[in-house]
Amino acid sequence: MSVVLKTENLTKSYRDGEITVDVIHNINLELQKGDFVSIQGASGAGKSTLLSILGAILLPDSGTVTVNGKSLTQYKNEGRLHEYRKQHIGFIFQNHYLLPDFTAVENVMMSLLIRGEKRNSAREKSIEVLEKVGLKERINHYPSQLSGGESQRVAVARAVVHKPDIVLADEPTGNLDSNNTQKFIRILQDLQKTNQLTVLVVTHEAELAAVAGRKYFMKDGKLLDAPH
Amino acid sequence: MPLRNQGKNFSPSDENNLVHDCRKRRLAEYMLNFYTFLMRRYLGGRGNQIFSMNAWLSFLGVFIGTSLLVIVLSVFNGFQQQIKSSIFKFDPHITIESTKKPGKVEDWRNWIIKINTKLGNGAESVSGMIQSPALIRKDEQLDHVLIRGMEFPEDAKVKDKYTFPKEFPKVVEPANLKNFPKGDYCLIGHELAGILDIHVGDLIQLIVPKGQFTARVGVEPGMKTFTVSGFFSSGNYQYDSKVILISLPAAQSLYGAGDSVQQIAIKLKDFDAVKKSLILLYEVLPYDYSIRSIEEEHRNLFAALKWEKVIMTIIVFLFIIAALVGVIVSTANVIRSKKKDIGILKSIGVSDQEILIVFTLIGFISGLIGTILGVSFGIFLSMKLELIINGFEYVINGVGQFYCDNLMSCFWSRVELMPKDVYYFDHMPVSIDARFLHPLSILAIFLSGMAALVPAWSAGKLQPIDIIRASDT
Repeated sequence: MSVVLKTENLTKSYRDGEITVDVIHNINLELQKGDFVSIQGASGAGKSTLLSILGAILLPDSGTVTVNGKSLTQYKNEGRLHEYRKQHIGFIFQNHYLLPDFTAVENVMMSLLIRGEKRNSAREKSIEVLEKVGLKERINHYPSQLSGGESQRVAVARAVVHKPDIVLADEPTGNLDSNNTQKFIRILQDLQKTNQLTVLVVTHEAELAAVAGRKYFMKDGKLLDAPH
Repeated sequence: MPLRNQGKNFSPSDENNLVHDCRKRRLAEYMLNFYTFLMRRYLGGRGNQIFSMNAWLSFLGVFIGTSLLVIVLSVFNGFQQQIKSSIFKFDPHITIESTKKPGKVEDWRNWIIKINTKLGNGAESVSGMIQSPALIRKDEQLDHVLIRGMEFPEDAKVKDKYTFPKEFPKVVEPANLKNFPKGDYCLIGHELAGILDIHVGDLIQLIVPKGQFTARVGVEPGMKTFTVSGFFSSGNYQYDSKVILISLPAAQSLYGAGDSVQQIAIKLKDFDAVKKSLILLYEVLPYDYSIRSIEEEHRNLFAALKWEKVIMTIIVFLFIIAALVGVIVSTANVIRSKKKDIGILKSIGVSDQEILIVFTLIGFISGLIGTILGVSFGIFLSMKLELIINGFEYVINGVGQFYCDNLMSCFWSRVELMPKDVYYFDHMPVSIDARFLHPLSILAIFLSGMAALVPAWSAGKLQPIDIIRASDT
């Protein structure tokens, strides 16, 4: 198995007046292709900050992030952080963050269009993934016409349609009821297995964490092996 | 390894070209797919809407700016053209008078030959002219007028008639009047005819100062009866209500001028050649002749026209700035309402540059559509401006009359939005000049894109994490 993502001594701190707060501290993490990894922890433990750094929407103070052999710093120095996000990452947020003016299928297509895919083929691929997440009948609905669970499934489709190196999910079931959470977990698991996706999920949800092959726990900015 | 196609080897430069072509095609496809996909929705809104409310507001700013610009330009243009054409059609571009014997040029025929030779092809006509104030009497009515005795070309077909010179006011009654009888006949302005209730064929008396001034009797008056052979319309109210045209021999006889004229009148083919022609005339004429250009005759008017041009330029810039502020505000509005979208797009890999391009293009398209609609509407309104003003006049007078008759028992004095005796014209002068409209439209479209660049640039600089955090709170 090849290493897809590797972090070394990743640190990020915020200044709160006179006090410096270490949000994440010396994180070392390695993800292999096809890994399903979960990180649990209390609110404020630094889970979302870690995910934001891995998704290159936040930069670390020190340490390195390497994806498929190329470091995040390299992308930053070349002024091409968007390329890092475009080439390697699929992001699922706690709030689905769909584009409200675009239909479900158009939201998913967007992921492919920004990667240079032609419109027709992007549409076909998007519909295919939306079928897999059980939204065949809802492809032409706008986010405002979809339920929370459906919107989150569209967000999953958008995150995986371009077959990214890593799918980062930040509390993806945080706003879902138990029924939708069940559905979501099943779908994510299916997609991960069938597409050999590398998934890193940050969650409070024990049920979602349980399906991961590897489980971590975060406390005070430090990454610890989850207790069995 | 070289590329092969049906057995043909490609050279390295061919390969480079192919790669270059391929990249260009990919970029074009990308633009077509991604940019148009995004722009269409941000401009077009959802479902069957052609344009979103925000887009309509964007267009509206540019639309109002450009349509007003077209109307203002057309009116200013028309105003200037009308002034120039009505005066230039009527008045000579250059007049020559004797300073030695004021009001008397005796050897004028010789001078005309010399002037024609000097100006060559530049002169449209060089002729003798008598122009002087007079009194007109029609029945019991008396009014002051300006008589112009001018040379009419001989009619080759009819012996006792003249034809009209090339640049001559329109004869409105009798319509299609082709020639003008020799002798004591005159043409009068159609407004003057209306004021004094004169009809074609009527007899009028012209009273003029005749001979030299003497301390005992002052100036002896000369009086003659003329038959009105037609009415002319120059488009200039001042001329149409005051001027009477007679032939030069009739004027010489009326004023007792013998064979002399008051001045030599020169009309040029090109008005812009006045200054050049003046220099040539100074070379040929002796010092005891004064040479005056039309600009000197109408110094105030020309100064006003120059000022008008300056004011027009300022107004044009103000309109463009107003339209641009509209574009900036509306693009900034679109960006503010799509801030979350920008964060989402950037988090999935859209670059700062691409965000900048998308929103600049939105501004550019707003400018394009707003300008096309604005210019078209402006042209339409300009063409119907007189009708609109008349309509306003009708409504104002209608309401005023009703108010006075039924509510206040007062006397309603009719409102004229374009009084003919205040303004020079008997109609609203509008001239739509494509030479102005083309560059202005292109400038408006280009500047709309440039105006959108400012908010678009700030959109490109937005950090996805800030937007996402702001959306979460």
